[in-house]
Amino acid sequence: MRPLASLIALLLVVSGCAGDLPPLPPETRPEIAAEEAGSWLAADRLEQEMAAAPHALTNPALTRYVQGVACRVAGRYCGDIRVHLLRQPGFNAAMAPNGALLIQSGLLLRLADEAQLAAVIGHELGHYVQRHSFAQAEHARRQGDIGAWIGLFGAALGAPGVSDFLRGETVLDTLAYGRDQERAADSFGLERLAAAGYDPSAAAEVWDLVQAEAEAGGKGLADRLLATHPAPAERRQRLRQAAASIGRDDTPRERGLAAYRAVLAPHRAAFLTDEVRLRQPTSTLALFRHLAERDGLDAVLAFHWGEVYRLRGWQDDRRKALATYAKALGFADVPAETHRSIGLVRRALGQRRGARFAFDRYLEHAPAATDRVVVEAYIDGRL
Amino acid sequence: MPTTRRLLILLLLPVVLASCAGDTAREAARLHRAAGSAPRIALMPPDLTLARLSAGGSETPMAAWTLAAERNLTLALMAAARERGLELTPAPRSLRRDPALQPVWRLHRGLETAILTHRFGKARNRLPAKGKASLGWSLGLEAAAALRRRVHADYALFVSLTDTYASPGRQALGVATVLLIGLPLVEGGRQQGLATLVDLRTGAVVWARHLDRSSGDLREAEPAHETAAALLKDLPQ
Amino acid sequence: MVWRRVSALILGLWLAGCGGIAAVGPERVTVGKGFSVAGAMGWNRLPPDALGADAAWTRDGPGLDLVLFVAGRGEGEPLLHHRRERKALLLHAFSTPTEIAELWETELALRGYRAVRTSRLEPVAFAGQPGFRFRYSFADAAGLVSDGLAAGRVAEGRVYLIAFQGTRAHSFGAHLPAVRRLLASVRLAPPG
Repeated sequence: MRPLASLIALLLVVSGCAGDLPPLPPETRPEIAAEEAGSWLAADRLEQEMAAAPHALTNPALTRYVQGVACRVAGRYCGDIRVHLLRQPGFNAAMAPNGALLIQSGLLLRLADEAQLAAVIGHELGHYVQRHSFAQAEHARRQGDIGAWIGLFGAALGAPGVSDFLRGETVLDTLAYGRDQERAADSFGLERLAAAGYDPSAAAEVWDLVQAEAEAGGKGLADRLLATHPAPAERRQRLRQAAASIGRDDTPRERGLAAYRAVLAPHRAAFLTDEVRLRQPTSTLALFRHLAERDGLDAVLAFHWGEVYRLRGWQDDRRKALATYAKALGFADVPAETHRSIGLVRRALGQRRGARFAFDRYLEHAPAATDRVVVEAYIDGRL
Repeated sequence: MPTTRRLLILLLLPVVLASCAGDTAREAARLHRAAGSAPRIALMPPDLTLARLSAGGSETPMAAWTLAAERNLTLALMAAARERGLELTPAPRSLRRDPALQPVWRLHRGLETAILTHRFGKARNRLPAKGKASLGWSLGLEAAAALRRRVHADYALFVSLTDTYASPGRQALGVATVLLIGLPLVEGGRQQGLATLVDLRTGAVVWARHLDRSSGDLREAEPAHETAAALLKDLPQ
Repeated sequence: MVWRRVSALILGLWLAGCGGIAAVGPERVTVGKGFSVAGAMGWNRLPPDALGADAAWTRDGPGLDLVLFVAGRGEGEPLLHHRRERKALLLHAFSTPTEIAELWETELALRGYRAVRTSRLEPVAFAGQPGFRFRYSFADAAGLVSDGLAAGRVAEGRVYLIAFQGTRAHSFGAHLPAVRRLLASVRLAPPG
């Protein structure tokens, strides 16, 4: 076993000496013959798919706004970043190796203001400039190659379990590599955020949001996030300290709250509906609670909050749903569907008259309802 | 080497080495054509990915190889078609980005998956109601018409192919494996592809050919002819 | 130890081969307890429990077209079976067509479909009794868009549903007439 152990040690040390890649200059694509060109080719194809995807969010005003924020944060890299919005719940954004920045609608729903959006974009820009996905793929490849050689020698020497053992080690090593990259992207992003005139404390705030959501959603989710990112408490602390030390008192610290809310307002109902439809009530309720605390309760949020209870349908949920819908009714712009949902809940509780009343009000408030005939059938008792 | 290890390798060897090189399915032996001319076939921009296969089995897509392969395979297919008395014209690459054709490309990719699974895949995935002989898949009239408006041909030929090539490190590992274990267990590289011919009057897929083999090189112009011949085997005329 | 592993592998492969795909004939076919349809030439019946339904048919492959049969799911049961039960997907005794359509949306999303929409919910006869029908649409992971039509009813607190989906570019329109014939032939015998 000793010769094998020294061989493993030697190969791991050699692989570790990979070193960082030099940052990508602005307006630069790798040459066709370069190693990296292959991942750009794959990313180009993926980007074409995403741009024409049925769930691509193509609203011009929203896309223009997000692309504008990206341009401001990116500085000289403005022309290299292309924003693609996707109508998809969940807190996620990803930067492809070729500069395509994919942002899910769930992320836009969760962020408080433009500064937080700029923080996310700055972080993703760090991954792009520092060529992290290519570096990570190369690292994984080298680790895999080592595993194959050691597996071969292990098999030849009659030590069957060696390759499996190594696979475990290399997985952890890849994750650690990912953590270094995340730290680097954080630093880069923070610099860009401040340079663009935004409040640098927005970066730590985004991670506060991620941590809160991970904690609320149950153990499984937190473990997954923590596995590939440095411990959020440490990360948030580091970002807070870095933000405090950046700039003097006269540094501009824009938040862009009004602009962000205005551009998002027409889409909020749709994005909230997407979260409700996931049918993950624990995490969605935590999210809605947080949004209400941060931005205040309004008719649309109250309605969707009620929907989470209605769709979960546990013991006490029907009562909770009605109580929450009642809050929505207190606002002038209550969505008409609130009455239909009240009708469905009352019907489930056996309150026939109350249900009919609510369904009537729904049809009053939504004369062009596409399900009018069905709801009339509920009122008449035919369905 | 322990006996059980040898037996295990012998059991797995057929799995590792066996690969049906090519398989064809077709609905018509003869192509229709305008009176007095050869059948006109439009070659859709091929969907190719060439990658380097490392010792550990990871695949790195290679842009230069892929772009060269598109050129080499297109020219080789045109030559092979000419030999069969058919007129094969490459459609411009810009067709892939045409917004009106996106649904057609997506549908075709869905057809490819279905054909690979239910016609060229495991026997238990066959769809008996289709009947043993026929293909029975179609893009439909609308998609066919949309394509015909762009390419002015009787048929459209689609080719999708992935081709991996062993890196020097992997080749070395292959040699070392034979020396140390006595069996060629490390696969060199694999060419997997599907070619389909669509009748642009009806949208029906009239011919399909599946390749899954460990030979073929598209990185250079000359060897690409062999792949083109393998792809167009049993093409109706 | 090695032999045990190998035989497990062989057994696994064999079992997976069990329950292959069969052609559906033209005569009346039972798709669930008391639930039958007729005139089904050209369809292939997928292995039992495929996709968690009581029966699943396809003509050209489930990625292109699919008919799912849900036969009598009741209180506390999901519309489709899943490996792990999810409380959020359970029916309630008096689920309305509105709520069934909502559940169907979630089932589609769980299968990995994007841009899922349901629409045109309307009352319509199903096997001669008051039932409902709705349309749906989605895109798969590769962006291929499909349209769907679902029809069914709730009988004695149990949901019966037939859902047909096919590619918008071809299969939905091409097979809709055959599906309409299928729906017209539905027989639902009252339980007990």
